[in-house]
Amino acid sequence: MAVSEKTMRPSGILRWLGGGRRGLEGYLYVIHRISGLALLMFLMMHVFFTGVRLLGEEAWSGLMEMANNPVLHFLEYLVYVAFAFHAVNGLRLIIIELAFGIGPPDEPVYPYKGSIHKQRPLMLIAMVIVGILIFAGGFDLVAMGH
Amino acid sequence: MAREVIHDVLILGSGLAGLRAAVEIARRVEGADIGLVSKVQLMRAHSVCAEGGTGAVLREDLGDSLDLHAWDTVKGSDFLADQDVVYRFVEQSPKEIHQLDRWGLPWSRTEDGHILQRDFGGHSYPRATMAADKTGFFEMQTLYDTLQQHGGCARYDEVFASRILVNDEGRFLGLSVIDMASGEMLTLRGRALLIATGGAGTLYGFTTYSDTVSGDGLAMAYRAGLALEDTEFIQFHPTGLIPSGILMTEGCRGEGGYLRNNQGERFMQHYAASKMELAPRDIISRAMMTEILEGRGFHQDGELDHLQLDMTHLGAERIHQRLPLIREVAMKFIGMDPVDTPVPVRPVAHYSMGGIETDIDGACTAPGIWAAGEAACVSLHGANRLGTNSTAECLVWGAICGEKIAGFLGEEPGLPDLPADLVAAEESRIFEGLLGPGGSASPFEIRHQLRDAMDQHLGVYRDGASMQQGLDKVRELKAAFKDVQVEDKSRVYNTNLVRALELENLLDLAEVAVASALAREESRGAHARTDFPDRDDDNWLKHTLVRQAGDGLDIRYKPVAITHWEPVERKY
Amino acid sequence: MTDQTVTFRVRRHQPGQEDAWQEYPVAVHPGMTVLDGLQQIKEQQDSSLAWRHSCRMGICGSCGMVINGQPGLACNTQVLDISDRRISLEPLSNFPVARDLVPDLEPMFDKHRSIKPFLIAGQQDGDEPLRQSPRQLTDYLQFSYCIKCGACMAACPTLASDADFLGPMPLTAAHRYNRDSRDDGFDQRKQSLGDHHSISHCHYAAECSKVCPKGVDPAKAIQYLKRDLVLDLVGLRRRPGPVPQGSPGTPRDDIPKAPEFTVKKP
Ligand SMILES: Cc1cc2nc3c(=O)[nH]c(=O)nc-3n(C[C@H](O)[C@H](O)[C@H](O)COP(=O)(O)OP(=O)(O)OC[C@H]3O[C@@H](n4cnc5c(N)ncnc54)[C@H](O)[C@@H]3O)c2cc1C
Ligand code: SF4
Ligand code: FES
Repeated sequence: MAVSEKTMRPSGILRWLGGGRRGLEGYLYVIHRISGLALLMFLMMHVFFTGVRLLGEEAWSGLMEMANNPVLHFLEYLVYVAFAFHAVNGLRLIIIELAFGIGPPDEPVYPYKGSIHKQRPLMLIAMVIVGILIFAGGFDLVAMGH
Repeated sequence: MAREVIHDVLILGSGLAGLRAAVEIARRVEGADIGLVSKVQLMRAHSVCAEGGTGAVLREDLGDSLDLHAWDTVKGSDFLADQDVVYRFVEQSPKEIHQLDRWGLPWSRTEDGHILQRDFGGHSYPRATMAADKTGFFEMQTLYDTLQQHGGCARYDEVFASRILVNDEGRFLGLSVIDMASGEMLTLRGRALLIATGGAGTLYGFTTYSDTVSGDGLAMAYRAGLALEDTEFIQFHPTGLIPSGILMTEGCRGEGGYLRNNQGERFMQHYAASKMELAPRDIISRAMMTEILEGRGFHQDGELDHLQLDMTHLGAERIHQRLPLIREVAMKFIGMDPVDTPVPVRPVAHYSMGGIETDIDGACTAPGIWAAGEAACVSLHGANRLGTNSTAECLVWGAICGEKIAGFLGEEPGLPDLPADLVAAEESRIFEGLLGPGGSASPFEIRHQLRDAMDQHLGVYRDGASMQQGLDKVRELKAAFKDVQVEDKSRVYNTNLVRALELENLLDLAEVAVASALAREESRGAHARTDFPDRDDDNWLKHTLVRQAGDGLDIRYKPVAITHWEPVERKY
Repeated sequence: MTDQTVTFRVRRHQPGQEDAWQEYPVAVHPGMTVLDGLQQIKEQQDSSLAWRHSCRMGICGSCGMVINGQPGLACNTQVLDISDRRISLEPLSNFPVARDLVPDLEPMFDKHRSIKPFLIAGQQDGDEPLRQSPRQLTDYLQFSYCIKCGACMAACPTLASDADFLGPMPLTAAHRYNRDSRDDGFDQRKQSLGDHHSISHCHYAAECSKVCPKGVDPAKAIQYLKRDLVLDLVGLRRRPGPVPQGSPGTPRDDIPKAPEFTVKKP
């Protein structure tokens, strides 16, 4: 009758992914936080590498030489993508967190829809903008070879 | 040996009655040490299910009056209510409504800010004070939340009381309880006890009650030597949803819903022409059973025969605002939207008018014990309760008992000694008896048979022969229970053990209820006998009292307090 | 319609042991809920299976569990609405587990209590009627529908990585009382919301609103609460509108009088 197998419960940050079947906004939350963490890490690296300048002109140009390769360009692009998403989604969040675009308190009517549906247009607009920015950046990367 | 914990007062049950009493004691006695015991988490008691409203006279300026509420209640009770109790009730109930208003209850409102009320069965004025159709839920929430601001209340969430400990004089000593989280047995000591454990609705298979309402308090009180009063009067609510028995509140009809038979006819015109769908529940339930028995019900294979509750003419807006839960439940459980489809309903076991005998202040005959709410029988509802009077009763007598207990704590000196063998006996009953090895009878099987027997033999219509069969069956099941097996022997959260203990309680109560019903040779209110179809005031205008006597029952009677109106014929 | 079989996959937990999945075949029929299925398993296959339930009509909040990856109520979920022939059941996430499908909800109750979930006002005593307009009622009514089932707490990703975050249910309760026209406790509640595990960690994943079985929309409440906190900071927070002034009602003439007393008073 019964089949047994052992399992572990995921904990902490892993549960951002494994907490359940998330909705769109749930995934945006996860991406927002991960992109935020990534940007933070980039920023620290950036400060560190910029600090190399203090070691003199030579060390700096050596570093710049190293940096001038396609892999790093692509990584730079990823930073840009994270930035584009985090900034635009952040704007959306500021709007929502001031309680705009989510509808007034109201008698819920079954089947319940609520604020998620109310803010969908805003969310879509934000994502379209993110998409355009990412595409434009990608175009810049490929076509212009920066 | 069970660990002992001492409090000033123990409140058994966290329904409306228990919570109301706890709040009352907490605000009256600074630093009162209250132990609040409940077998479900505090805010999950069955009272959250109450839907329609709470009865109170709020608008004397519009034509309502205390006398009218009292008269409606007395007439609804088929003159078995104690009339002094009824007056106490109608005077207190409005105060409770306003008190809850001050504690934050989201009552529904009229445009000019008054509390909204609606029509309810058997009431001559729309006095069902409502918070949409979640009145009980909001009352529970408000009381639970209010309790959060008082310290001094020890929570015993998910702690199952298995025995009320009393000494030879009947003085209250304490409670034996099982902490479900650990499986450990505790002895809770206190100078006073309030029993607020609610009704016994899961005696029946087709019922509106939560699965956790099993009359534990009644059975424990009975075994502790207290009397159970009027247990033969069990209310059948006209509109239980097919097939689960989930309640479609009387508020559906209060808002203007119709009952129809398979001819599409509003059949109530033949039974209560002046009140129609808003006649008292016993009358409508009998009418519905008659319609069904005479073949005018709807029939569907594999399901109970039913009639229809039609709200389609009320309009979406009214339903969304005033009956949102009803609509949600109908859509979730049977996939029908009452805005555009009539829903299938049938009379369903709903309320125990009887309970532990108390005086007008809720005090039991044993010193130190009070009872309130559905578990108690202050004799407010007599032979048939009016809708909305129960939640109001819980609030009123919760408050009264709280006040009386607060006074008692001030006077009563010490804690009597607890003989060690009492606790030891209870421990061995559970840990060696139920959790020990052996036993072969399945508790689930016994429970099914009990519910079937009750559905069949103690329903809307009763007769002597059938009730006798029922009684024999219950006694047979009681004997079978002696050999019951609890398969799960573990300690932590053993729901199997709890179900078995509940079953034991239900069996005792079933015996008391059927025996009382068999003894009462008349028809009154919810007790409708086909072999004695008339009310008989000469012989039966009295309350039934049942005590445990060895292995049998001791049935006695006591008079009804008739202080305002002599009984007259009851017509609507 | 004929009966079909659905496999219930239940995550079992016994104290001191590692979790294990166990499968039970259950014959289901239309109208059957997940709770009915569990009941059937308990009666016919495995009486040791433990979970909480009471009202079986979605109002007591006992039976919250994770059903096929989504927190919800067992009594409220139709088996046949789930397209899968396998239903996985787990205890609510983000809570410690006592046994099988029984989570320990104490942390939620404690947090709820910490935000002062009751009216703070000078008018608690007295039995004179108060007034509140339907408009004032609507301002908080939706947020008072919470049955404390914990589904939102299990779904909340912030709680997943920060156990001290207050979580959707308590924050919603705070807003519910803040917005009540009878309440005067905004400042006190602000204190209890103050610390850094609090409201600012919500970034509208809206998972709570997605799973809430009662249409409470906690995510909405939290955003409105944030707005109020911001407005309060800049001194622009407004109290819910004025108390309506009623006109005296006109007595109804269709109400009967109670009959004369027939018992003579001694
Ligand atoms: C579906 C439904 C709708 C209703 N609607 C209305 C209405 O509209 N208006 C109205 O006036 N009335 C209504 N009623 C009736 C009313 O709700 C109940 O009579 C009332 O709520 C009972 O409250 P209580 O406090 O007595 O008990 P309950 O709310 O049943 O509480 C019992 C408490 O006792 C505890 N308990 C029980 N046994 C034990 C034990 N062994 N150990 C520890 N704890 C224990 C339980 O955990 C619980 O906390 C309705 C009833 C139902 C079933
Ligand atoms: S807000 Fe909704 S999901 Fe959260 S506890 Fe309350 S009812 Fe449950
Ligand atoms: S059993 Fe009450 S909510 Fe599911």
